[in-house]
Amino acid sequence: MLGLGDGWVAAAFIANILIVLICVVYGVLNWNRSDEEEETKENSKS
Amino acid sequence: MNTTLFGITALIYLLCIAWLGYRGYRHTTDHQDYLLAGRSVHPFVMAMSYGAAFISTSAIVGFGGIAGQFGMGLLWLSFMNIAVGIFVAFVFFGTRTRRIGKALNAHTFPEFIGNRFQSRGMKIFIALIIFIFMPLYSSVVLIGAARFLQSVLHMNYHAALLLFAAVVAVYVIFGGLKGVMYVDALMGTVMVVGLLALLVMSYWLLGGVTEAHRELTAMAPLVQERLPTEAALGHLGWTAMPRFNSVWWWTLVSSLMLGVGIGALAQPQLAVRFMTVRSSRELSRATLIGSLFILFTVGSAYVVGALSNVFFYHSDKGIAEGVSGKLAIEAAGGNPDIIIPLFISQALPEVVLYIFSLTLLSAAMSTLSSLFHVTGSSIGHDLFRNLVRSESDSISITRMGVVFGIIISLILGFTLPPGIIARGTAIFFGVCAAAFLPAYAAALYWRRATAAGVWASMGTGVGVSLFGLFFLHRKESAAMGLCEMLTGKTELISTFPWPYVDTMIYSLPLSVLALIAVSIWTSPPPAPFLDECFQKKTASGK
Repeated sequence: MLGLGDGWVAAAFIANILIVLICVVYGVLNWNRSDEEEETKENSKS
Repeated sequence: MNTTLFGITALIYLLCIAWLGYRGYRHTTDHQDYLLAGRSVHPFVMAMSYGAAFISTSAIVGFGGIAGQFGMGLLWLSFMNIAVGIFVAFVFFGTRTRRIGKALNAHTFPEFIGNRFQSRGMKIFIALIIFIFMPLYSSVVLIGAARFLQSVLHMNYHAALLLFAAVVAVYVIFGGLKGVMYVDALMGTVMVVGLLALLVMSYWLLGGVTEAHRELTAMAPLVQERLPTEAALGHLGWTAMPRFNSVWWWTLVSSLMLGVGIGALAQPQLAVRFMTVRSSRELSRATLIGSLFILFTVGSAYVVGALSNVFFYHSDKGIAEGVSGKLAIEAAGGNPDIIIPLFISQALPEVVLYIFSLTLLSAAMSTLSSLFHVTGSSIGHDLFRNLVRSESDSISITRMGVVFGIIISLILGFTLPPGIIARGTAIFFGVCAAAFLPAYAAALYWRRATAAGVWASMGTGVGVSLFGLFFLHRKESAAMGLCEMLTGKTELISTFPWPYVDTMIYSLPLSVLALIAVSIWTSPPPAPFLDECFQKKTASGK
């Protein structure tokens, strides 16, 4: 895969891209969410 | 390289640094500004500063060179850097560090742990650990930068050492953390541009991603033919993981992936940055920016380091006469630290050399400034104030601490032999992870953790780490010589793989066990205090 000789190195290559995607998605989803809103949600649950 | 042109470029760069440092100085009015940048840093500045402090020259040149020698297995380290050093750090450690740190009025890492477990002695102990070991690490970065200036600008080594320290010292002493973080943001941007340009150019010259990898994969038989030492260590090719349970496999998995990858969580100079932002929103945004930063810097360095073999070996890839036909480590004369600089200077256009030179200087300066700042704040804010039991807090005391820390690093840079300094860095990383990580995680997540438990954990972490480094892990124990002096052997257990297993593999679990066992055995902390720490809302909404 991707010209890489070993599955583990190919996995590392893809894992790097995937973890960055996770960070990007997390950042975008929480772009405007702050502690205060989190606390409000926790309080309303209780 | 045109020295005059590089000198002019570097001068313009220094003027930008001076302006940003001055900006930090103008906006620093109290100790909260000096130690925590006023707790209102922009997420871009925070992420770039965290990344630039995280990634030093050794991560780019040192590990990039190791990738040139052993291949792309190192991509698992960049994965750990992003997964643990960014995602886990920002999402699970960062948000709570910021919130609890504010609730406890903590300004430094020692103060955070000390206030959380209501122990002045703990602040002094952590500050002492930082004070003893961090200047060793600072001096490694300082020496690396001075050697670089010596080779590029043909400067006298000692003059380069003094000049580099002086430039960093000025904006750390006067600008405080604001100055440091503003300059880091500039440097981080230069690092991303420099290393991304390097990666894109390398793939482009080699005909694309898959084609470049394919050419490197085809070179695997050369390991057995030309590199018998590396082959014996487990090297199977530059696009393959090392042989399972070989020496290099243990080094990659235990020392690099786990030791460096997990160890980053407990670095005081990184942890303190979580307290510089206004809310968790900034940390979420910084997660996005920080992950891209690490991918484009260390990810690029490791890929380019491995691909340099194709450039060095094949004569039609832009390599100068006299190098072609060699593998990267052969071209570098057996020294992996030379692979990346040699590759840059021989294989790529001169403009990339200028950008990359600034990239390396930036990596060194940003790491060094963070280390100077943390060492100084530990000496001035944590050690001095708690030893003399002074409640007064002034920027002047912390500034004096910074000056003191810089002088110690300089003296070490001038006097200690490089081998000892490099081992000192390993000791610092090992001790930090085993001593601080369980305490730090417990401070954030475990209400039942007690001060006695943390003392037991830190004592176990420091003790087992130092024992492992002096008596078990061959790389350090052989260099230190204490084990050989006492027992006649370089390490106590010579049975494979023990001499190659990183100390953190056993010191960290033992430190965690000590924390849990002693905490359960001792009285829990008072509930009202814990509610204050975790800012638990009462029924009245208070």
